[in-house]
Parts: sequence; structure tokens; C-alpha cells
Amino acid sequence: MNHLTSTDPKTRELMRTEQTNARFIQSLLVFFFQPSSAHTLAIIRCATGLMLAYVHCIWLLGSTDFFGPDAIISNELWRSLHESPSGNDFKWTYLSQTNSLLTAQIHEGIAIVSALGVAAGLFTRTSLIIAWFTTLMTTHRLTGYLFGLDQVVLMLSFYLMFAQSGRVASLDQWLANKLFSAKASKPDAGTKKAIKLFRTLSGWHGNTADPNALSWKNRAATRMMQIHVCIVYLFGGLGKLRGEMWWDGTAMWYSAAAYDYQSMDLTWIGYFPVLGALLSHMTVFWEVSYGAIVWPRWLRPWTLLTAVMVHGGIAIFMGMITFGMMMIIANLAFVSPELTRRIFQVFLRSPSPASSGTSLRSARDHR
Amino acid sequence: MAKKNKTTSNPTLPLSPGSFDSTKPPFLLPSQTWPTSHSTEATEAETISGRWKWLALAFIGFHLVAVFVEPFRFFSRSNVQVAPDAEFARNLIHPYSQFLFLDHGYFFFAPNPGPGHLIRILASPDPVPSIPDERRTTPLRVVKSLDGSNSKIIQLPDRNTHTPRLLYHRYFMLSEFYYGMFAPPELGEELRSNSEIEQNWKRDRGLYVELKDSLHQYGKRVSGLDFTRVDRVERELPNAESILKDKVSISDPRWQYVLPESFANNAGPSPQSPPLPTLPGRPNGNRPASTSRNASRPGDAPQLNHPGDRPQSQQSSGVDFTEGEIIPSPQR
Repeated sequence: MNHLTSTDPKTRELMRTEQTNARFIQSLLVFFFQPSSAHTLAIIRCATGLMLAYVHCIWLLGSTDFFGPDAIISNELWRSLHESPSGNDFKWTYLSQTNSLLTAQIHEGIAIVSALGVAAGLFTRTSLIIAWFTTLMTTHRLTGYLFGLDQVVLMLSFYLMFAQSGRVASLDQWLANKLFSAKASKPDAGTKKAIKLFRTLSGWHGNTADPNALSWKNRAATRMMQIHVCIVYLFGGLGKLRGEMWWDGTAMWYSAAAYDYQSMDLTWIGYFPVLGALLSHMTVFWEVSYGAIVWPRWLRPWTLLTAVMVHGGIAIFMGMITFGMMMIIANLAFVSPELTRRIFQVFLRSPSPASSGTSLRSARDHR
Repeated sequence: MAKKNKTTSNPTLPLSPGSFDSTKPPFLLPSQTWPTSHSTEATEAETISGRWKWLALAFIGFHLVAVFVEPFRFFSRSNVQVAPDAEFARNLIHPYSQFLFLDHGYFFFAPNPGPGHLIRILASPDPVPSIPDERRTTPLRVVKSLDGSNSKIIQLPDRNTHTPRLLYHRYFMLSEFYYGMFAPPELGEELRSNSEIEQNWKRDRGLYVELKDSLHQYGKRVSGLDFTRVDRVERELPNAESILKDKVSISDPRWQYVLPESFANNAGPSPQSPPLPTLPGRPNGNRPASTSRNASRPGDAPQLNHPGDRPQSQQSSGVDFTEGEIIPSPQR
């Protein structure tokens, strides 16, 4: 007997509860796993790859101070720093096990190559894993030199590892085009082996080179990025709530007056105290409420526009162009892949997806 | 409408999570589809099914808890204790979050924008002069006047030598780190009576001295000279009046001070201290309360479980180990 037809009130109540729970769980599953395309993630991947390469170039440039026998923070000091009284420190890195500068430089070289692979989308999954891991090892070793940029690039590269971002704007896609068309025409043993190797290295899913292919991995990675960014802003805003300068409106001035950060003069803002105070207050309210206002569609463009202005300002005036840029890139996680796909189509003049064979109707990218 | 349909007229609708098909929207009749205006048409769709979706959901939940708990625990500290719930949750996920570099407080520019800190290394072929009074803040120009003619100055960071900007910022973070690690050379008798405080102080002092020694070695290596002195320099944040009305540049060296290596016991100027320079807008030339209190740097974030993450015993000790650190304290 179908339980919806039951006449027992208790049974019906129980069924209603079950249905409500099932509805909630199903909504959760849809939220995290509804397949989506990789267009937005591809942009994030390119930017993250380029930034990772740049970060490691800088480590390489100053490698004699950062690694090896003449490092300012030597391996011995590093071990002392991470020698927790409770004995629980999990920032393990093999770079702290050797005093060889050459080893560290080779490590950085590998990181740069893999990061460029990420940017180009060449063997995307493998490149991402290597780039993330080498960056993590460097980051653990270089205690004392780190700031927000390292957090953001590691965050983005970590989530990208799970996605199918190599589907779009990548050398993998070009390779897939070649391999899958070869397979269709003459599926010899060599082609099959090449496709198998390609799949392993790139993490490619599916049997076509269609850039519009959907994957639950893209959605899951995007959701994790989005929620992570919301948490960052929430605590960033809550931290500011504890400071009186963000309330009395002087925070913007004192940020502008920090010479060691300054890359472009912003002290003119002192002539406009009302503007300075307004920007201070807006920053606090925007950060604290980011996690709420970025989800409704009608508010999202304004929320993201504010992010561009805030981080653009940090990049231009506060000398942290790298950090500012990566925060803007992280905010891209909230841009619908559908919109990004259209932009790709406009710029790359790619063929309409409607012409690419059997269509599977997908869900809306962002509800 | 769809909701009504599914609960009343269509009992076969896949409400059970086990029957979830992620290519279909929830709670629509099988004949219904998503609106077409925002849909992507594709030849392939990879969906998740079976046990994998539960495993994936569990991993996502665990990971996001780890992302949340670290800053939550960081916020949940006071001079008295760390909130037990935050501490408990954090201890559960700490190995994961620390290895994945998720252990941050996200205190960007918070609680307040703070002054910049630099490392100044004086290198000389002869023994270097000491600061007139290491217990007090000394204007940089006074310290400069004591540098010998044969000496070399190495500054971390240095805008002229540390390019591109990201390299400059790495050294800047090092100087802020060094500043944050400062532990005074001695404890007052009252604090020494607390063995836990004394033990923590010894450890912190040891780390600070070790890093300072390393900077000495760095100075000697870079300069090729035998004698060095390492100073912590603070660039104060000027008020708008001084900059805009009195036209003093924010790069003016008069905003810079060499910080003391130990603390004076009284508030008045010591007899050996040189007179402090007078800055516009500050008639008596005395330094105001440091703007570094409760301050942190933009783009900077605490990394827990290193010396910046001070044990509570130190915070409650009354010793200002955390000047410029990002540990907020309502008592300040």
C-alpha cells in the first residue's frame, strides 16, 4: 500500500516529516551536485595558474634568503617555530628536511611549470595537483613570509582539483578534439592508449570534446569556493567590528596613510572625511553581510561590483595587486557559468551549443 | 504548484534521496523541465549517484566545517579562555585544517589598520654603537645620527632593492612577523612567580633571540661586514591634519621610531634619552599611544599555532607580548 494513501493520521504525519526531510536533502544534493559547465571555473583556473607561477617565480628570485643554508628562517629555526608545546603541529613539508638550495630551486621550478600547465589547461588535473601540492609545501616551509595571497591561491587551486575546468579554454580541449576525432575515424590501439593516458593525466570525463559538457564536479567545486569566500568575508567583517577605527570612520584614512603599503597616493581622501567614513562603514557592512547578499540574483551584481571596487582599490593603492586580483577572481565563483559561456561565445566565436548534437537539458546554473 | 502536485497527486515522485537524479530539478513532475532561459545545452552530463554522493556530501560538510571552525576558534578567545565549543571543534579538525593551510583568522585590516614595521640592520666593520636607551622608543633620526660613516644599512623591506612588489611584500611580512615575535628580555618578579607564564616567556624569548641572531647573520652575509645591530622600526600612522595641512609626507622619516628591546619601568623620559623631535600637530613631540594596538595588516592573517598565536597565559599576564598582534583584547 502506498503510504500517501494511508488513513492513519500518525502515519500521514510521519510521512509528511519524511517528505520534508527528503525534500531538504534533495535540495542540498541539487545545490551541491547539479551538473554545470566549466566556463567560469576555466577563467578562475587560468588566473590562478598564472598567479601561482608568478608567486613561485618570486620565491625563486629570492631563494637564497628563503631556502637553503643561508635562509633567514633556517630549518632549525623553522622547527623551533613549529615545535608546539602540545606537540601537535601538522605543517609538514619536505622542504624543511633539507638544507639544499638546489633542491628548493628545483621544487620551485616544478611548481612554476605545473602552474603554467594549470593556466594553459594542459593535463589539467595532474598540473593542478602538482601545483597545489608544491605550493602547499612552499607555504608550510616559508612561515613568516605569508599573507592573504597564499591563502587565496591555495584555496582556489584546491577546489579546482576536483572540477572539470580543463573542458574550456585549455590545451586539453584541443587534445581531446584531436583524440576523439581520431577515435571516431580509426580507433586503433595507439589511439585508445593515447586517450587512456590523456584521461588519466587530464582527469577528463566523457567521450566528446564538447566544452559545454556538464559535470557535478564543477558544481561541487564552485559551491565550496563560494561558501569559503563567504566565510572569509564574514570573519573579515566581524574582525573589523572589533576595531573602533571602522566605526569612527578613520579606518580608510589610516589605511591610506600606511606608507609601507602605499603604491599610489590615496591621502587625498583625507580632504573628504565624509567619503572616508562612508567607505569605512560600507566596507564593514558589505563584508559582514556578504554571505547573505551575494546569493539573491538581484543583489549579486551589486555585491560583486563592490568586491571589484574594494579589492581593486587595495590592488591599486595599497600595493597588493596580487592579493586584490585574486580576491576578485575568487568572487568570480559567483558568476554564472552560463553568462561566462556567452561571453566566451562572443569573444571566441565558438559554435552554438545547440548544434553540438543530442542535448541534455540542464538545470539553471545558479538558482 | 509543483509542490502541490508532488505531495498529492504524484506519489511516485522521487522524493527519496536514494532516487535523486541530479540532472533533474527537484519537486517537478517527470514531464516538467527547468525553464529554458538560463539553461545550457550540452552533449554530455556527468552526474553523481549511489554512495558517492553521500561520501562527497560528507567530505564537503567536513571540509567546510574545517574552513569555518579555525577563524571561529580564533574569534572565540579572550584573556580568560578560549570558548570550549570552539576549542573542541577545532581540536577535532586541526590536523586536517592545519595541513591544508586553512588555519586563519581572516583579520584583513582588522580590528584596525595598523602602522608598518620594518627591520633595520646596521652593519659596520667596527663595533656598532648601541641605542641610547633600549628601554624606550627612539626616533629614527636620533639612531641614524649614531650610525658610523663606514656603516651600511640593510632594511627589510626596501622599496629600492626589493622588486617586484610581491618580493617587497614577502620581506614586509617577515618584518611584521619579527615584530610580532618580540618577547622582552626579562620578566617582572610578579610574572616570574607564575611558572606557566615564565615557561611560555622562555620559549618565546628563545624564538625571538634565535630569529634575531639569524637576522644578524643575514646582515653580515649581505654587507660583508663583521658587526651588526638589528632594530625594530615602527612607522607610525599620521593623522590627516599632519599630512594635509602641515604638508608632512607620510614617507617622512620623522614618523619612524626604533622600538625598545626592553620595557621602561616608569613612564617619564629617562635622563639619557635624547629629546624627541617635534612633529606638526604634535606640539610636545611625544609619541601618542601607538596605533599598533589591536591592529593588523591588510591581506594579512594570523597563522595559528606559531608564536603569533599567544597562549592565554601570556595575554592575561599583563605583559604586552601582543602589541601589534591581531589578538583583540577588550581590556585594551
